Amino acid sequence: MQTIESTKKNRILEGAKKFIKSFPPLTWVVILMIIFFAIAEPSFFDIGNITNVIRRGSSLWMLATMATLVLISGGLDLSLGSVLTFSGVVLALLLKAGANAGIASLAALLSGTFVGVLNGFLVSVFGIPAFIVTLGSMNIFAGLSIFFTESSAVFISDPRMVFFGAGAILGIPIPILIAVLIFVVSFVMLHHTSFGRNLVAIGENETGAHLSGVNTRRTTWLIYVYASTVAALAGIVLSSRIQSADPTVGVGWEFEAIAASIMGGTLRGKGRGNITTTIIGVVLILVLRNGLNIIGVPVMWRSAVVGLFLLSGIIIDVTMRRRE
Amino acid sequence: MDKKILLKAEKINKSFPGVKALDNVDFDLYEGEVHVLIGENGAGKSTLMKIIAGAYRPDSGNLYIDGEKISVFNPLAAQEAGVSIIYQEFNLIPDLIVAQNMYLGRFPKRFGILIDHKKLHQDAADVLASLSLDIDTHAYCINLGTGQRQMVEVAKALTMQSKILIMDEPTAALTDREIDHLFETIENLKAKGIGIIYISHRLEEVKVVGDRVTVLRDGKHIGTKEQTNVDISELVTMMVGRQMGDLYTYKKMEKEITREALRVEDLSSGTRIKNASLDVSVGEIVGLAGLVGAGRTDLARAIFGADKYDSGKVFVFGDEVNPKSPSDMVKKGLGLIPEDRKAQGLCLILPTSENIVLANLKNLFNKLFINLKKEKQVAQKYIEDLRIATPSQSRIVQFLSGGTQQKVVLAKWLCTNSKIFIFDEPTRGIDVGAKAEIHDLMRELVKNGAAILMISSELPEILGMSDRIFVMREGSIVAELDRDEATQEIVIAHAMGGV
Amino acid sequence: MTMKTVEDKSKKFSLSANLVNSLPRILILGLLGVVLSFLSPYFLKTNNLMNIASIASIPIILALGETLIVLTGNIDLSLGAVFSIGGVVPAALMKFLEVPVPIAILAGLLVGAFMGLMNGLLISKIKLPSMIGSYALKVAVTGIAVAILQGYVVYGFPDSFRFLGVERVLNIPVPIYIATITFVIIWLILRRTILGRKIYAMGANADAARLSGIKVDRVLIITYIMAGVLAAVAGIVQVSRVNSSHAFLGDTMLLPAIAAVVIGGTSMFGGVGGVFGTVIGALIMSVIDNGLNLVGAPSILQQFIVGVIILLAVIIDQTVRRIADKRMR
Repeated sequence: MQTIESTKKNRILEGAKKFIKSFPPLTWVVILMIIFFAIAEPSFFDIGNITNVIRRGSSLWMLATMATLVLISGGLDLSLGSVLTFSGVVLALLLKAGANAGIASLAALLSGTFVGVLNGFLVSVFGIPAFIVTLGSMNIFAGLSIFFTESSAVFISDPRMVFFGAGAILGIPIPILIAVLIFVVSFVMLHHTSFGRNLVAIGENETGAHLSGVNTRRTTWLIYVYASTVAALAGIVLSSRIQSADPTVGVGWEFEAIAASIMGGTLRGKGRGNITTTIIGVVLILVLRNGLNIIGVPVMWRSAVVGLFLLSGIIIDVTMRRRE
Repeated sequence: MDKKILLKAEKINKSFPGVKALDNVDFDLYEGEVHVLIGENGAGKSTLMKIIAGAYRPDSGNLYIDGEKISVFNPLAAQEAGVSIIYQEFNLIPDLIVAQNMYLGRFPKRFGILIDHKKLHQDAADVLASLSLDIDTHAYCINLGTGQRQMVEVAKALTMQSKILIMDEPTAALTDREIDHLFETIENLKAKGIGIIYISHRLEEVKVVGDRVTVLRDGKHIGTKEQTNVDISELVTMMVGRQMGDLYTYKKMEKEITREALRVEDLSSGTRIKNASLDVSVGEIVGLAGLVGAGRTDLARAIFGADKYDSGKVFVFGDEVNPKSPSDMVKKGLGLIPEDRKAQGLCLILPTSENIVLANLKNLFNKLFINLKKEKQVAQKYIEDLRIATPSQSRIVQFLSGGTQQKVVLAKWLCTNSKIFIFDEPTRGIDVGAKAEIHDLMRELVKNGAAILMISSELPEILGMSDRIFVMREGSIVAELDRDEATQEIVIAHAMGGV
Repeated sequence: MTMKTVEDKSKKFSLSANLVNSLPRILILGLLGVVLSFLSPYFLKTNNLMNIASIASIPIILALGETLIVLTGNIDLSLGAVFSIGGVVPAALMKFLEVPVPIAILAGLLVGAFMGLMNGLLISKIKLPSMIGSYALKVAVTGIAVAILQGYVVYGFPDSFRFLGVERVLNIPVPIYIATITFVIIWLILRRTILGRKIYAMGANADAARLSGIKVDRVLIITYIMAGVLAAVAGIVQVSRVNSSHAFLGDTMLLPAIAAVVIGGTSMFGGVGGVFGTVIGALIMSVIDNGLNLVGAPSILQQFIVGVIILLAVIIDQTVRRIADKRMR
């Protein structure tokens, strides 16, 4: 005879089990890694170090969140890194030309929106595969970045921008606040608006979604606009933080963002990708990079380790997924 | 009885290249009735339904829904007119929860943008309750059983204020309990005044769930009966009774049926194939009949090495073989002409000649290199032998007609000197003339020493071509008939069961 | 499933459909040439044309490898890294272990083949999507390359090695010979051998190819191995030309290679296109770069222009296809 107590206990147990299962297998790897690095080099856990890592990682996190959203909708955006770079360039050059911080930032943000409109148009209206479209725009804006800056970094000294990048509000670094804000907005959008639900539907069954009355063309177009705008925001944050717009920084980051997204459990066109678990992928990359740095692994070995981790991580994830 | 007419279709005609799918078909549906639609594969049921659901446009004829004449044929317009269709392969989004699937594209909102989850779940629960369904609106569709998913589709149709619900083979994948539940739900829907068009192959269900039943055959409306007047054997006769023309006359030919070419013993694979056994001898055409979904294609693919299977044995010319990949079986002399010739039989964007030699590359050209001249000759030979209608051998096969494409697939295997051919629906979607040609080619093949296993859903073809017939139902071989003892009625009876 | 379709231009001419498909691109190349010859008196000088061909040689070899992969319907993001390690291994062998040049080169090619094999296994046996698998491989390979050279840049190679990148025969730079020979070989393989047929068939319709008895996995792996070797060849010639080698040499080479394939008209879905188009695509990019130089425009605009051309090429392709489709109905 089951008592009320034991059924309650069962339910808690069931809930706990479900909670644990919902994390992608890689979570345990990350936890182990953190433990490993903490033991190997205690200063890993210094507030200073952690804050630093988080600050640096905010841009990657934003890109990864966007990458996940686009992947959920069944698409792909290879131009995110170049947009990040380009918006920083726009920002720096306008500031240099004397514009005020607000206007320069707005312009930089809109430059990202513009790219998103372009990408979205070609993908949703013209029907060109997203890979090619975003490959093209990636080249275009990476190229323009180099062109406008004449291949060298442009410095940013505007005090407001500097604060934006280096400052903190209530002790929390601004870059992180922004990344968290973007995450929250994206989360709400994904789970609590019809736009978000439509993204999932389109990614898994575009025809079915269309037949249910979803405007697939508009939704697809808009997600690219959103993704590029946020990428531009990330670029503004990054340039403010390093106080310069460097045309070589950022290009190629979309691949890492996509990798983080996939390790976090996103598969293209499966709504099961969720931006919360993407964080795990981002954390993995950040922890790995920082950890290797802290324990003094020579730079040359780091890429090898990161790469092998990436490789095994993806293999494990895909094979485990197939077992289900 | 003045029940309102929900839908009226008059003299609907629809043709596809080479095939007249619907020939002056009339159909109507009353409020609160279940109108069952039956007919063999290819009789025109799904074409008619697709027209009503807005997926196809009729060539001629009129369609009235709720008194309004329909002039725009697209899925959304049909939905707005009140038509909902539940396909066999459901259109639910696995990673959305029940409530979201039900209201996709029509979510209730707060502040204009945010989904009002409370109202959403309330509304969804209400609809489900009105159908006496006990499904958690928070559940992910991917976690629901097939029966439940179907219920969600039905509920979804209700949320769209549909007055006409089309159900395509609704009980195909359900357990008995789920079927009972479905019938209860249908009663519920009827009480609400919703009209249901119910397509099924299961004749025993007709009496249980239908108020009226209409039989289609070869695109024509054969008859409509009230439930009280219906007699199952009469239905069967209406479904299959036809004048068998020359085309399908069984020619008992002068040929020898000699040794065993292919033998399958107790092959099982998951739930799709259950202990299937059959055999084909040289000089024979063996027909494999059954309904769509009976497992025939699965069996063919397993034999050919295209899919893995769990247990069983396959023998080719007496030797046991282990079909691990199609390449193995091709080497043993098998050839598969697949059901979906465009997706599985041909490389559409490649030229005819390249498709013809595709399976025999290594033997035709002894070394690594392709001898273009030889390729041209070989391709030309088969184009002539099979009378493949193409302006040139470099014509991309995508642009050839269905019948011609099928000949190219056949040419591929002839080129490989296959001895055992598995034809899966050899003349589906092919016009009468090309049909006859392919049948002649098949007869030539066995006369010259080949063995053929022919899967077909067209009874005339089965009866006209086969020396022996195996009937498959729900994964098992349920009958083996000699041509002499087979009639359409007997074959259908075995294929459908419970008659 | 998307059915790959194409428009039938081969009605009137009995030329190979591929050549006909490349006509618009050849025209574009020609047009570019005409325009540039007006814009600058130096364009048509033999020296300049030779320069174009010479600089384009190495990217062409790499792009040939990428073309093979794309023809099967996949994408390979690791070729840049294989390019790097294909040069790093011989460099390290020659510099640190004083291994004779021919053996060092052979080692480089073997490394390329091995990486290709790994890539192929990831895609065919472990069934990773090719974009993910090749990206992960790229990071891993770069890492290994870095580890080999300990992060250093290696300079100074024997003359016999430098022959590949720097010398001329009959006044034509050796890289041009290498590129031409490689092109001919790959073209022959794709168009005149059984393997080539299988590659196209796989790209056109992997299901149908498998059901026709083609061992799809095996073909895939062989293709990846070939691409790896080609990337290594390109890397080796590059090292010879610039007389130095480091682990990131190939980083900037990947995207232009993909661009050349796309511009050249090979479809991302596989089964359509070929190396001829890729060479045209690479030449188009080279000519533009050269033209920019001659005209005095900043050559850093090149990436920008590559991006624009990619988009233009695809838009044109798509619009032509729509028009052709409409005419068919």
